[in-house]
Amino acid sequence: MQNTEELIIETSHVSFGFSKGQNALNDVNLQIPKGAIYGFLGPNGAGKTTTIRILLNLLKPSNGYVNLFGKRVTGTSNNLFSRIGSLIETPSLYEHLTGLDNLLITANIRNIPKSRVTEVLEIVGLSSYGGMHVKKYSLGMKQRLGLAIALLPSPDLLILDEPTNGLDPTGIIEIRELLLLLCKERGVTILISSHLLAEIEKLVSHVGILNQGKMLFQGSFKNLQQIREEKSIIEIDTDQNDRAINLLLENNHPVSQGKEFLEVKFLNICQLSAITSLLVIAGLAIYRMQLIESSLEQTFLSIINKTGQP
Amino acid sequence: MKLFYTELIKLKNTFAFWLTIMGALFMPLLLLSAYLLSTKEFVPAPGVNPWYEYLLRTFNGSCLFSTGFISLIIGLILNVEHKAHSWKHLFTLPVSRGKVYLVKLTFIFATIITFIVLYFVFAVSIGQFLGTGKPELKFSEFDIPNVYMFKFLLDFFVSIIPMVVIQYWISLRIENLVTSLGLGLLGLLVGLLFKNWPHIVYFPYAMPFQMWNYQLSKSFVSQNFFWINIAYTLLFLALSYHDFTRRFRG
Repeated sequence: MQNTEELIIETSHVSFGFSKGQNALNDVNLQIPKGAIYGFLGPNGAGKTTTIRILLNLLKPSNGYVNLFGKRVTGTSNNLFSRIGSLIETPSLYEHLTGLDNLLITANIRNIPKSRVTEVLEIVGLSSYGGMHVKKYSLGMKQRLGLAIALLPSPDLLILDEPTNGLDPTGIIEIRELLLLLCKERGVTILISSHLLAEIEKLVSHVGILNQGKMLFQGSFKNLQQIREEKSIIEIDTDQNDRAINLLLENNHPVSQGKEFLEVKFLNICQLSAITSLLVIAGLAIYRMQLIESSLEQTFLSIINKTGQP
Repeated sequence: MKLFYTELIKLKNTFAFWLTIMGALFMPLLLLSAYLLSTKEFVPAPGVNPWYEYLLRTFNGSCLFSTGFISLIIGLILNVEHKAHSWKHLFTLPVSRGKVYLVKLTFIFATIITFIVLYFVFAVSIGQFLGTGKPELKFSEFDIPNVYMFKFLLDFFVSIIPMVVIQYWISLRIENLVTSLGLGLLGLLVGLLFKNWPHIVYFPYAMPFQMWNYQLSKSFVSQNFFWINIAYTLLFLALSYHDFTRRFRG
């Protein structure tokens, strides 16, 4: 990631362990530029929530430090948090109170006018349910209320830990559109964690992949797409596969025998016609010629699985 | 002040709110039914102010029952945060942990003072009602011994402060209401059972029971207890504050 960009979140060699000798996080270096929507990915138990808790000063790293808005986070960094809205795991809601009361509690602590409370209820589509007790809310409504609480301070940085938990597909799309709008129109930097790439791939500009407490990948979403393309292959089947292998190798096409078909590493789309011409001119009958693109999900899983291997 | 107001919002529709009112009414209602059912037994000797005996029963009731109610009120107020898993949210707001600790403790003390004041308002009102409804009890013929009552109120409040601070710490740390309340009640039980043991004054939960059969001549604040209470209060305030601000993860 480019260091010339203004970084809103920066962690340097952050490590953390809940017990001695067992690190939940190992040398994590997050770099999140201003205006980015950063997808923080990893399977359950990878250390995403622990990292987020460290960013929010809920846990103290055993090693390394955290910078938010270019300032070091210490025990007395409360002022920094007036610019941050957050939602960690399940939203913290007082179920015996109404949605409006829940918002008023945070608004009072943050010195935010009541008019903003009405505004955020409208943003998350709960304006008709503000007077309803939270215990009567569905899971999705609670998640929206949690998001409304995070939006109260008109934050410059939003930190959301699995915010689409419990939302139906329509709800997920609505939240996605809302976050895109916040980023585009207000320049809000967003860190969003998820264990599913598919859930956030249409949203994020940057991606960080964490597994077993270690950062495995960090970069722009385009970088991840590039990796995906590098993993794409062309499957080929002919009437004389042994001859085809020799021909392809002679013409500098990296080929190998796959489980069923020949596999050539995909470089670019012109390669398809070049290989076809080569085989046809040599008099081979082509039964199959197919470009197999690796999905982002497969790319993500292959990155994750690398650490799982001994 | 705004933080204090948010605590008030959180108390809405909670059992803690109703307990503050209904718990304060419990003992005075017991006394009312006793005086109504066995009026003859409570008729004072000629020239004796019935308020002294009535207030002494109120005071003893306060030592016996109010301490349990107070432990429950503390547990219930903190349970609101535990149930909502809201500590993590509170700690990410631009307010220091120290402020959160102090505002909550102040709010708990305010609730306890409300409870005690209501308890005595109800008790005195019931005494006056008995004076009108049962003239033979002679409540209306004598003045309420205000000095006696206010002296007890002050001494009783001083006696419960260390217990409140310890119970606040326990209820902060233990999410399970039954466990935190159970520990509090166990402390109170030990304090009650051993209230006559010479060294029991060093056990904070026993302090309220040192007020048993309170006499104006034996003012509580003038004795060693006052200093022991101050020492315990400062000690547990410092320990719990340090624990909450440095180690508590929510």
